[in-house]
Amino acid sequence: MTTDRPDPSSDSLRDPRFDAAWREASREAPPAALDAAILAAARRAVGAGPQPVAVREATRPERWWWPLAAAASIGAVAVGILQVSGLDQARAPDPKRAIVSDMPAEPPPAAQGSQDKAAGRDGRMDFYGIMPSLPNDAVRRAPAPPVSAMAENAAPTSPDPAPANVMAKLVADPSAAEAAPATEATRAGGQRNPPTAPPATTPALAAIAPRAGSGISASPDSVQPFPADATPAGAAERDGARAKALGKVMSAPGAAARAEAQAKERAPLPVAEWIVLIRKLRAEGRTEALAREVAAFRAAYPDQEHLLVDLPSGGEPPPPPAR
Amino acid sequence: MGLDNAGCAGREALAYSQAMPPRAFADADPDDPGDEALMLAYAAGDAAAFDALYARRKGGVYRYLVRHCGNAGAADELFQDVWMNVIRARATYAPNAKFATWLYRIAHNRLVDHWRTHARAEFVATDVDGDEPDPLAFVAGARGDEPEVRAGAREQGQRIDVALSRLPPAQREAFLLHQEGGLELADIAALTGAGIETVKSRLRYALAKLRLELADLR
Repeated sequence: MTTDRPDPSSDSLRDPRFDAAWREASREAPPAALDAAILAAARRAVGAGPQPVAVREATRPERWWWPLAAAASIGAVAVGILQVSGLDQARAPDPKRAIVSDMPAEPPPAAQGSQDKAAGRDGRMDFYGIMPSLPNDAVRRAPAPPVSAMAENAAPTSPDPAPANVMAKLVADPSAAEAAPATEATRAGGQRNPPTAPPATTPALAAIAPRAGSGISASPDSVQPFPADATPAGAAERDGARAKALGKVMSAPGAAARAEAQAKERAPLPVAEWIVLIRKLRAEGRTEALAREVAAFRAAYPDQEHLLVDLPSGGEPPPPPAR
Repeated sequence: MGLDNAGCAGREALAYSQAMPPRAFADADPDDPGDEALMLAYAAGDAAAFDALYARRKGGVYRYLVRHCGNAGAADELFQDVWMNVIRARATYAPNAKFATWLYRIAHNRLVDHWRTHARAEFVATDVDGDEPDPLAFVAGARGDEPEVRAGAREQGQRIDVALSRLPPAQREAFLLHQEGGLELADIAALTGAGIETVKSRLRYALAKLRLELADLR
């Protein structure tokens, strides 16, 4: 096989006739589908870039009500939180108040041990073994104190001190009695409402009954009007003497006016407390203070005068003896 | 080793590229924007610039690939890859050289990758000069071996393919870059990694051979 070796020395790199013949013969072109695909790809590549925003609506938020919806949602959540927290506060037990349990008293240790064994606690882990067994029923197992003891215990922690203590202070320090009304008024707080229950006959109930806010109220059946039937037999004579003394005091010039003025200045005590105070003053023979309190009581509770029937002459201080 | 030109043989009469040949285009209208300006315009977002650029260059690139690989299907795939590379590289294009040189460099590299993938070793002997006999030059092209009788306009294309297939790869490469791509000697030298004189020699040998092969076309 031989080849015709062309002459390299020929200087014609460009032959117009050959070029024309070549161009005429070489007409291959890419298929139209390929052209379309490439041109479409080129347009897509250019069009993929960010386009200028000509329409103003495109920059406007489509959902203009979103801020309103967000504000409404936040408001609803806030209201819900406030309500839930209010309920929690309302349900939270007041640590100053006595807890009254209606569960039976704590069983003896032997029985308690058997209960623990039965419950599988045994002082180690609870049923799930996750955390030490907390005495969930400790409150239920706690011994329920008797009512009288409860009343005694509750007295110092009660928001309003026991009337006996208040009265004792008033009796011990007459000067403090004048300053007491303001402090008593502030301490009594919402206890302004006159108690609905008349004073109790037993000492425990008498101590409990004024504390209507403590949640403990005496049964209406167990209370009696102030003039107790158990008045000692010789009390009449004593009452008579005290009434005389009281009448002296009250008949003193300006005494009644002073008492009324003091009573007006001082906020009135609850009826039961006042009655207890009056009875205490009478028992101690402090006629001057007694007269002042009686006058104040009448001024404050004119419709409760019937509670003073045990006082001589219907509570009225006896008229000064004629000289 | 024969060239599989079955794909190209099945192609019907191909419409002549609407684009003017690069060389003729360059001399035709001085007011017409150059390839580089069109490419920069396309990089700036002008899709119409790419349309014009593609219309100018698609024929040359396609024929360059078809003549090299001899397979229309493979040429289509390579052609699409070349232009997709152009599209992707639009943002980094810088007119440091002629656009045609950059475009045919992409095509050349894609062709080399194609041959590497298909274990063709045609471009291994890129330094083989036309002075020495190339064993591949005497291997008849597949198209020439086909028994079908080509008729009409396709006959010339077949003869060109046959004549090209008989050229040494280096000469064919230089000739196609010069004839279809319109590249200058220096561009061909830079693209192929050969010297200018070497490229010039290859071109001379290639033209001489083709003139002999295609003497009746004139």
